Amino acid sequence: MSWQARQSFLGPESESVLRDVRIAIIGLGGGGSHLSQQLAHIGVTNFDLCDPDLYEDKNHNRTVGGTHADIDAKTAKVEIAARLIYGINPKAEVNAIKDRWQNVLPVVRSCDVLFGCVDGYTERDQLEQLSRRFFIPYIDIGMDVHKPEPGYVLHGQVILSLPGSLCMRCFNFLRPEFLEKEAQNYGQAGGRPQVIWPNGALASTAVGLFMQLILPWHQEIPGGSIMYDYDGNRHTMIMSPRVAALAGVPCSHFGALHDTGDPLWIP
Amino acid sequence: MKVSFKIQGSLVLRMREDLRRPHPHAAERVGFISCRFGTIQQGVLVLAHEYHPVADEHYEFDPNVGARFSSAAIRSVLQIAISKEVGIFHVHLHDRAGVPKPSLVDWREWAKFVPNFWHVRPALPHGALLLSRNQINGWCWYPGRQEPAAMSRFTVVDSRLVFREATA
Amino acid sequence: MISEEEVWELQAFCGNAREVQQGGEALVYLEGLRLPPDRQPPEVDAVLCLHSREGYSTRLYLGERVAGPGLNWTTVYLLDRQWHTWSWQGVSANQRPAQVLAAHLKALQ
Repeated sequence: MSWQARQSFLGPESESVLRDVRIAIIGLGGGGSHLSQQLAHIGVTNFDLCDPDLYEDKNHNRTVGGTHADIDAKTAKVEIAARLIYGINPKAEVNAIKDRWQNVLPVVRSCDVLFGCVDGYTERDQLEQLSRRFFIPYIDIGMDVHKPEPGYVLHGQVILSLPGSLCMRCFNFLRPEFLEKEAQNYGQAGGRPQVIWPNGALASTAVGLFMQLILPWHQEIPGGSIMYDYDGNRHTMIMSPRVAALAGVPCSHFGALHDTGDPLWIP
Repeated sequence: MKVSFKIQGSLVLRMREDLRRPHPHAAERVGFISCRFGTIQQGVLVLAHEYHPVADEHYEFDPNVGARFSSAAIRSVLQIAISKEVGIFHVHLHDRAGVPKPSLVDWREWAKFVPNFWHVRPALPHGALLLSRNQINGWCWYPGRQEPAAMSRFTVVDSRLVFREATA
Repeated sequence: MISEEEVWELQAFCGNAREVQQGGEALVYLEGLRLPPDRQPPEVDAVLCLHSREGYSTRLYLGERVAGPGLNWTTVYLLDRQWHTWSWQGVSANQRPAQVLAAHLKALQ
């Protein structure tokens, strides 16, 4: 019996689809490590992982697969994720790239689905631009912790940005003022509080959206892009009201010819 | 060099709908897709941007072939290639299920007019696509190469992502 | 939209200049932009943005970081490429594109 037998409800072609699909994960920290683990368990075989960072003790509270020895060894985050994936599926093919994704564009352009687990709005904006140029469904996850008095608020988002449908600007998640503020700070966006359990919830929802995209198991799939709001204080993951509010509204930010493909391409 | 093809689901639907419409005298309809490109691992990605149906009045009567389009149709699509930086891919429909295979007539006709697009866009690939009821197949004439390359991967991007790796 | 005359003026600085679009915004792609003396490499491809972006009224992006002192570099993904730029404020868009370009190149002198 195949180790994927318990997911046979996904259909007779599910194993081959999971074997053939190519995914890229940008950012192998808290969110990306959860994604790697779950996708490997499901049977995804082809991974492109991009993260330039080394493992440090500040990552240890939330990175699935990271060990204490990795802190001392300063193991690359992509190597931790690759090790995790291979431990689950020795037949996986993992391209672990210890570099910024902007330096390996042909690799990122080649994927079927792109997961963004990055800090800041600028990186997300750029990943979405690339995904729209090359017709790649982009799934973004992120969390934040705010301190309105009294106490803290944990919240996050999972967004499926589907080419031809609404984008993160349509959802008002990416705003020019956020991008401008980050640019003024030279793109510094890290250092925010991060904990493992919201990352797990966000990653699980992202994997669910991914599976619905490639192996839908029911008929009630909402068409187009989707946004989920995570409330870490109420422990809820709810489809954002913006999705219904924007039903039938076309994306005004992408879709033009000049935003398709590589504008400076030469054969 | 591998050639992969991607298209959004809404465009596939529009193309199939148009190509299925009856024509007063042509047995089948044809159209053109304008495409952009990108470099991926091991090859090139062809991205379908827009569909350009051949106008009703641009079909010529020829009982020996499914569809014959006039020089006006060619001029119209050449104009698109001139005004935009796009590659042009001819498309028609084999209205049955399964992976469509080109006939000898298809090959003969493609070999005649596809290289013409290099007169206006010599630096870009052009080619031909075949749709069936549920699959896509295609060939790409790459600049500097005489023989077309069969596309090896086809992806339809929609709320259901569907991809097919072509077997040899 | 920049005029043919403005393109011709820009070509005094580079091999070729043409307008390209991204997200509805016009940018100018400069092939083989010649850099001031003592900067390496001597020529790079570049993108000139003639409108407000990232908090700057205009901006010049280079295809490579150029060696030489005194610039605070940052990297931007634009037109499906990685570009390098630096903090250089106050170059107004209310002048001809070639003047905007020259003002940005002053930072490299």
